[in-house]
Amino acid sequence: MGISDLDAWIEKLKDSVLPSEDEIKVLCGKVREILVEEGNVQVVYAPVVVVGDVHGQFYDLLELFKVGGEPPWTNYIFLGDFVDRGYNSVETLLLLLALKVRFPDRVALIRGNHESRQVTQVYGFYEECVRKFGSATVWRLCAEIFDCMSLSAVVEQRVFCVHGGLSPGIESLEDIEAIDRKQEVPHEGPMCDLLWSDPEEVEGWTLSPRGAGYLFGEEAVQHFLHVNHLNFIARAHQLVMEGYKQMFQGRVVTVWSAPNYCYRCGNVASIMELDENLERNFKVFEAAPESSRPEKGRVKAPDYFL
Amino acid sequence: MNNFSLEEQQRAIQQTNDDAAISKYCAVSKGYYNDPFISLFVKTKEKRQPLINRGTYARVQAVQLLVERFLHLTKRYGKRQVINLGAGFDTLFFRLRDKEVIWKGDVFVELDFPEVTQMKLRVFRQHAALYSLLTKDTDMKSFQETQDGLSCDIYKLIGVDLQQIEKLSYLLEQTCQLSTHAPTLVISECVLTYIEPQSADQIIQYFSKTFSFISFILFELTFPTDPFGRQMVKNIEQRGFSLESLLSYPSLRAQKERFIQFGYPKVDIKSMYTIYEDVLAVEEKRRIERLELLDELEEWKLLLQHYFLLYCLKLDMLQESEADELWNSFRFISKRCEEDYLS
Ligand SMILES: C[S@@+](CC[C@H](N)C(=O)[O-])C[C@H]1O[C@@H](n2cnc3c(N)ncnc32)[C@H](O)[C@@H]1O
Repeated sequence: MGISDLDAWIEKLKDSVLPSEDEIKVLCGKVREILVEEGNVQVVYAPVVVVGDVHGQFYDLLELFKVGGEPPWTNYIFLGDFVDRGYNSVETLLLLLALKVRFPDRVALIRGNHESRQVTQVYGFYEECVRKFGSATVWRLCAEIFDCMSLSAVVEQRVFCVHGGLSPGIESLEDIEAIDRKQEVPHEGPMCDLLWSDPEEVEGWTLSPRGAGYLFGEEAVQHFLHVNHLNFIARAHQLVMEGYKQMFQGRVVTVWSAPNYCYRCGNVASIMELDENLERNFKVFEAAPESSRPEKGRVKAPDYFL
Repeated sequence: MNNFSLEEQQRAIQQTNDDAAISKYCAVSKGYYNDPFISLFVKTKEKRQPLINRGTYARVQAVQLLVERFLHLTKRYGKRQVINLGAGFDTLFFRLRDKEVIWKGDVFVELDFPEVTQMKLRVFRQHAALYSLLTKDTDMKSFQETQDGLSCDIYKLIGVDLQQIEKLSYLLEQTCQLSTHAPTLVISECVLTYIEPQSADQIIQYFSKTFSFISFILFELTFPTDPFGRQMVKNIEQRGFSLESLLSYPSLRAQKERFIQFGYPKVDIKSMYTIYEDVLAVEEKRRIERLELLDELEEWKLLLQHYFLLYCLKLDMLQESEADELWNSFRFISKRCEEDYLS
């Protein structure tokens, strides 16, 4: 698979033409080679655009690229939760994987809590794969890729990027590096916490009401930043109606990149640009207009209590 | 306003019943709560998301809790009357009868469009289990069936468009011979919101004017104007009708004031989020929260904040102290109520 094949693929994917199972197998092989070489804490340089949850909202991801710029002209960190919930998880994930293979140094993919076998079987990605390919083969291939994805990134040694948040079991970045990440997301422990935890106005650490991970307060944040000589934490994982939210005097920022989440929530989304000086600039955007979606990308209204 | 004809709109409104019944069936088959009857009304392979299942559980439990409280508190006043507006395929009568919380002497009336009551009747006819609960302890001489209705001492199913208020009053007072003094509970679970606001107001007012001992329970949508609410209205209206009543009373405060204005001096309103957090039994919640993974708590909270339960009382014939006592035993207690009311 050469560069021109990849470029052709990326263009086709943008028109929501899916590759064949065999092609996906080849792609996954390539991504795997790249991902396994990456550390648990990826090193990333500014300027870079940080992207939060996308959740299979493929046409909104295309909208996002219009707002943030196309790779490789823009450098990206995706903070996970590429799949589930939205109707086009397959297209979304494959496009991101293809971009990763094409521009490995300009696209960082960090694992989210939905990049897991267990969660994707409940929240749609598994079913979508079976529906679109007639078997679970593609899902299985993708799940193996999930296991290779990195757990975090640090921009210019100053901005820590992760899907969920901190863990009481993690003191330093070295502790993260020490995790053996090539596995299904465990139900507890440091790796699980990185993908599941949320910042909250609490003292110390509290178990998360989500059923995995912790709620961590300002003190835990300050301590982690201090020990690791960091300025702030960028994370995703929680819907924010305004697209982003800063907490603890800007020491934690949540970036949310799925507009009108689940086609239900009516929220705007955002991406965060970090410039050379690590100054933050948020770009807020709305869901792709219905008219810009091809027929099969039209949205079926979600359920309510009627 | 939309471009659908009146008939199309009515059909679409009637179809919301299928949706409600499927949601209830899905929650029951996942083990959220027990309802041995709902499966008789629904044949589907559809699945619902965990948050819809959990919310459906909250809705059904909360309504049933209030209904049972009302029936319990009114035991000493003789015969009670329950009127289920837009009952659709609701199985409440059978659940209550099965638990023996209503009994001979009480009357349970269900109203819906004739198209819907006909379908309900067809299901009754197919299942002996339903028939035997309907006819249990009843005088078979009182038993009558028509094309779209059924009547025996304890249960009446009536096909009518609720907007025809005169017909409604005739059916209740003359045909069903309801007493205007007996303790009477009206339930409207996702119904009035589909009815044009003036007619809906008339219905609310009709009951407070006609019955001297009356309670009204309303479960429906709210806050249509915030971002989540706007999207909700857009999504639901795609089905082919408009939610005018929702827009006329767009907040908890507006709904509460509406009921006070239309003749109910004692009114409480709570968002379903508050009901879930503060009212439903903790052990039960712990059990159902283990049934399915629900990790998206922000979406869950938003959805539940856009539904409410209102309940109210009007008691003309009781002493004030007795009325207050009854009201206080009827209400849900929660710390969050003030906050809710103001939002
Ligand atoms: C969403 S369903 C709810 C059914 C039931 N209350 C429940 O909670 O399962 C709404 C019901 O209200 C009925 N309905 C709406 N407008 C009505 C009207 N004007 N007259 C009679 N029934 C009406 C519909 O036919 C439908 O069965």
